Amino acid sequence: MKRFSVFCSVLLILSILLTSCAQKTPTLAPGTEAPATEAPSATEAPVATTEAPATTEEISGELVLWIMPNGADPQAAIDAELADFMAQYPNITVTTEVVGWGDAYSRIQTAVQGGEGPCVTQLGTTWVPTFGTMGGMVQYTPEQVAELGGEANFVAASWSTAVVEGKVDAIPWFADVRAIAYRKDVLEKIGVTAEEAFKDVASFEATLQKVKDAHIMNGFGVEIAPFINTGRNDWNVWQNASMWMWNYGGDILTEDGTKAAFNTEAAIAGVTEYYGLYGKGLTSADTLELNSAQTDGRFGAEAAAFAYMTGPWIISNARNQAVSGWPDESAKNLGFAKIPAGPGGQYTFVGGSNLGIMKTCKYPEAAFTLVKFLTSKTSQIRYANAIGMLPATIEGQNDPTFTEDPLFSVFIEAAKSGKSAPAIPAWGQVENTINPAFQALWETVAANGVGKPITVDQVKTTLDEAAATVDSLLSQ
Amino acid sequence: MTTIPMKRKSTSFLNKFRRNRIAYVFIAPAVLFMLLVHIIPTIQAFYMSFLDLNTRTLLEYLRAPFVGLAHYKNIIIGLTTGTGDALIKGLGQALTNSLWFTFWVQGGTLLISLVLALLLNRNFKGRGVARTLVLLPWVVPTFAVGIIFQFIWLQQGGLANRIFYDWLHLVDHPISWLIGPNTRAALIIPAIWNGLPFSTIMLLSALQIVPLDLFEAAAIDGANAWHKFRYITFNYLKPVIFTTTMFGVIFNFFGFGPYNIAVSLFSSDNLGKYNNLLTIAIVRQTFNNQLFGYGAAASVLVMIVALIFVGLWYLSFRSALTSE
Repeated sequence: MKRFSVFCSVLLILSILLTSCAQKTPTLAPGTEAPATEAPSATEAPVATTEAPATTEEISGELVLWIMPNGADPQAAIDAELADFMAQYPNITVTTEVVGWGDAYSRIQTAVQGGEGPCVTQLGTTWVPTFGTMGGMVQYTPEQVAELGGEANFVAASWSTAVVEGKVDAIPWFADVRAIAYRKDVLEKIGVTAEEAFKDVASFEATLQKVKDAHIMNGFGVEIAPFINTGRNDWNVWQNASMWMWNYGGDILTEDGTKAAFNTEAAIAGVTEYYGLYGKGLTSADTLELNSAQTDGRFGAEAAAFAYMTGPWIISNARNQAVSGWPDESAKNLGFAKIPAGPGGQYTFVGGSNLGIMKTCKYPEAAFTLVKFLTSKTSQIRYANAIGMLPATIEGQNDPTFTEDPLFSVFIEAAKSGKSAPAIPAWGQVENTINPAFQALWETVAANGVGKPITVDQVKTTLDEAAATVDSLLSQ
Repeated sequence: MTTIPMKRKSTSFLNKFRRNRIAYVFIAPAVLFMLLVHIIPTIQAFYMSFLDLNTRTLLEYLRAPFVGLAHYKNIIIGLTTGTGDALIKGLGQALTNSLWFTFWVQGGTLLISLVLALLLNRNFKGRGVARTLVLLPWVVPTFAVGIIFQFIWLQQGGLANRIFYDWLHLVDHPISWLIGPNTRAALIIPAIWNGLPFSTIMLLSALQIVPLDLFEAAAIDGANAWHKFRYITFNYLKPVIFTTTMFGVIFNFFGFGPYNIAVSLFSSDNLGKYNNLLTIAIVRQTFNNQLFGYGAAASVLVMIVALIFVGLWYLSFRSALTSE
């Protein structure tokens, strides 16, 4: 007991010190401001000396490229690009490492701190503000941006994710655009055209009700649910909700990025409509627990619903049934439509990935050459096709490969009215606040159950609380 | 007066060192390794806990602005009042969840492993196979445990609902295990499953040393099965029960095992009001919000609580651990 008493005494002294000293410490904000103002100057070092254009033989370097698992065979897809690149630039060698999405963020963070890392890295679009603010990325100069075709060459929503506080920290590589997948045969059975079904939110909900009332059975003898979407356990929680907010005239943050906007009347109305579909009995019974991959699988397995929000990557599932195992019913009848229009317009979420050059890279000129190659028209089209995404460049998207394809063309059209996460330095913290809030709303939906759709008040209470937190952190 | 004993002492130490130098050579790599991967990072983390290390100051690392005990103050205010820094909200809820989670996981693990150990200690055909099977969950990584149980808990096509709903008709509709209050059970059960082998093997090994003549003597004295268990078996199991419980609490309350299971089970590190555990909350707030100074302070506090727990545990059960 004697030793325990000594330990308790030490703890008590520590607690007293803690309380008293903490009051004397300065607030966090001033401390954080100093490096913030220094960061830009530290990153303003010239990236690549592009004034004197070098010939393909003159540029040399040994580059390491980090990519994430893009597409079904990530290594093969990037190898095809690099083989072409290294043939054009024989003095540049590129070694690729496929880093899992789960590790990528922390590994890039370690690399930013000066650890072993790549020269060029793929960055999730929402990561750019964080790594850019840390000062770990080389900023692309206006001359370099011009060399890549300028801002106008990139899809507007993708470009907005690459620019933080006016500085170009990354270059869009490929775009991930969302749309609703549907079964054409189901629409035929209920006698509704795609144009009617997805015209606006009211017609969309009416179509879902018609599917429900039709009691259509699938090939496995199970009734097809009208709608299936991802729920609580997903990595696209706020992204899926955002489209309904935008279409109702709301937004995630105010235009200047200084305050929360996801709790405005319009945003709440959009979220209530989307989250209310389960309570109205218009979704699959298990929709609230599914993640994106499971939802893809349930739709493809035909035993599930007929429409949900997804990306262009499932096109390859429908066209390569031997690998995906999709039955004919879902593969041959796959169609896509834009998210139904609301009172505020018709927008879709555009994500994807960007390319960043690390400040620790010893061969910035060779690194920029690689970025330039990967954003060239040929590479954009070939790579996007290989991984089931869309090119991030306008010229890539306008290629007949995509515009004349009945499935891809819907995404190309949707991307024109695309929106993305606000590119502000504090986005990581905002995301970490709004994700739990939108997940909590799915918990509320589950607690209400079928027959009792979530109410405006329930949505408002949760989002108001999250908005207060977001406002507080944005004011710091 | 004091120089002579000191000289003797130092001579004696040198002699001892010379005599045992081969032992020091053998343990040197382990000491060096511990120093590099354990001691130095711990000291560094302790220092980091006084720094304002965040997104904007990360490149400065240990030269980030010094903020004294501000992080500790924020954490304690957050824990005690539920207010404080908006970015580290929910620590009180995480603490309560962790206490409940640890209680149920450790209680369940101990009870089931005790039954398993007593069964496996009996002589029956196929005992060797059964003992091997009990070890299986041990070789499954915690990350994989989460993925396996995600398939088991799926509302449509999951094994649990196949058994309870389709085969046994125990419920009138398939249960949602992966959303709502059932998520507590959905996390506790795999955690118990994962912890069973260690506990069972420890208890089984303790059962091997119980002298059989004690049972014979007790039978002559008229003791029934419960008395034999209570006064003979349990006495021999006590040190193992206390030790495994201590390790179990450290693993489940302070460790990363539940974190790995939960993140792969729910495909997210935002586990909501039912499963937001302490370690998970600290990791999420530290890395998602880029609050590294705060994360270091929270980790130091957790380490202090763990040390207090181990100290108290040892003081309370010292006699049971050292007797017999």
